[in-house]
Amino acid sequence: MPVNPIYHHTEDKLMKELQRVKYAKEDPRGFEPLYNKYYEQIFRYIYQRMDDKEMAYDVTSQVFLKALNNIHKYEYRGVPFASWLYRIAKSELYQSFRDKKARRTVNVESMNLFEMIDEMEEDRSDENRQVLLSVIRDLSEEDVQMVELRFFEKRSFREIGEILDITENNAKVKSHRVVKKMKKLFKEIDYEK
Amino acid sequence: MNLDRPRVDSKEIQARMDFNEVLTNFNAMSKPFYKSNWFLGTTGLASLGLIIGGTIAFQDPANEQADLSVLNTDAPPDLHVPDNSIISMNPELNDTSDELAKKTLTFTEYQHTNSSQNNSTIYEENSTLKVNYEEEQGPQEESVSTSPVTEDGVVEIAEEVVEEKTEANTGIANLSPRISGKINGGITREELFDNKGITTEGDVKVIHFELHLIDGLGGKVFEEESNQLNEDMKTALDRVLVGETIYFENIHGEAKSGEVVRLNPLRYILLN
Repeated sequence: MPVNPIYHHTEDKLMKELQRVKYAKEDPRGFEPLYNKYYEQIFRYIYQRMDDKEMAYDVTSQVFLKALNNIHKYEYRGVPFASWLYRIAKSELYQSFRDKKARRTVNVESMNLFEMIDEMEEDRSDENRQVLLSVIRDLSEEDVQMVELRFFEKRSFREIGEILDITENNAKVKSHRVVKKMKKLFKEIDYEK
Repeated sequence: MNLDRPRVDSKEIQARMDFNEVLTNFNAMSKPFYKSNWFLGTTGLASLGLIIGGTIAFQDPANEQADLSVLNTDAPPDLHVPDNSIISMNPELNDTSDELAKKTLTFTEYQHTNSSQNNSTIYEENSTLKVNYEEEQGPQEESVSTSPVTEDGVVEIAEEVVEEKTEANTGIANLSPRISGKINGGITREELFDNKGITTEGDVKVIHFELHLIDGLGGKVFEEESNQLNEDMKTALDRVLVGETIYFENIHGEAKSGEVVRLNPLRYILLN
């Protein structure tokens, strides 16, 4: 499975990024390169989970404003600065759902669905695609989040762990459990039909 | 659930990027300077400093001197506190110790305590100087008895003491040695090195004293057969640090009658 290339940095790139964070801590204007670098991927992360595009832009702005306000609290942990932004984004996203400013949606591409059907060792038929959509609807929010991160956004277990604030191994375990659960649900729905 | 929703174009996302807006909102959300920690901390410390400074500046100097006196009422390390007896440096008087003992016995009946003078009181009576230390007295000795002691001579002396009691009370502090009018507490180098040396307010002239300086290695003692600090003493005092304590001990005074007596030791804290 291909992984998100933007997220994965070399040690040298991480150090350069840390230097930018230090500038931003000293002067808010120093935050601009980080804003420019991560704006698009944060927007896409947010918009992937909601319907309203304008609301997605607003939430993205809120994420960067919050990041700038709390940049002095940021501690380098050997991972890209993006993981910190993703955690803020996740928090802002769920806040907007709680405030009923936005509605939670799952955006799926057919291509990704077929890949998932392959994972479950089933045929790539339209019928199975419908069954899979039903399975996803029946999943809990936590499981849907894992499916989105792993199968729709193609993130590595390490990145998933950093976004969800869990270990890489834990992310792996959770992902496998979700797949297992989905297989079970898939068969149940298939039988009913 | 949306299936195959059109992907937002990168150019559109880039066009919506506006860092200046974020910066403007950030500045609007930032605390004003008077709510910042550095401002509150600085003004708090400055206010505290002003309060303490003002309190010290407006403190009554008389009270300060009194405080110093209270602080320095403890005895110096090797101070020998004599018992309640006549201290005489004249060997001739030692021969008549029996007679003196009787006088002392009588004298204790008229003792007087004066806490402001290092808890000690000096009396002059029939040309014999007596030093009476309050610390040495038991509560029974404080009661005044008018009954004569067995021998006639002693009774007479007692009567003389009664007659001179008023005079003795007024001259209590006169025999305390002092430098620049100070009997203890803080002292400056200028006051120490003045030309008057160790003096008393009475008719007793200081003829001998010792300067004791205590440092980390022990102590040094300088002797002088006058009431003036000699050059060695001045040199040694020059090396004493501010805040250290200096002691004048074994101070001998000579009364008008020629009798040599030991006077109270002195103790000062160097102020400059």
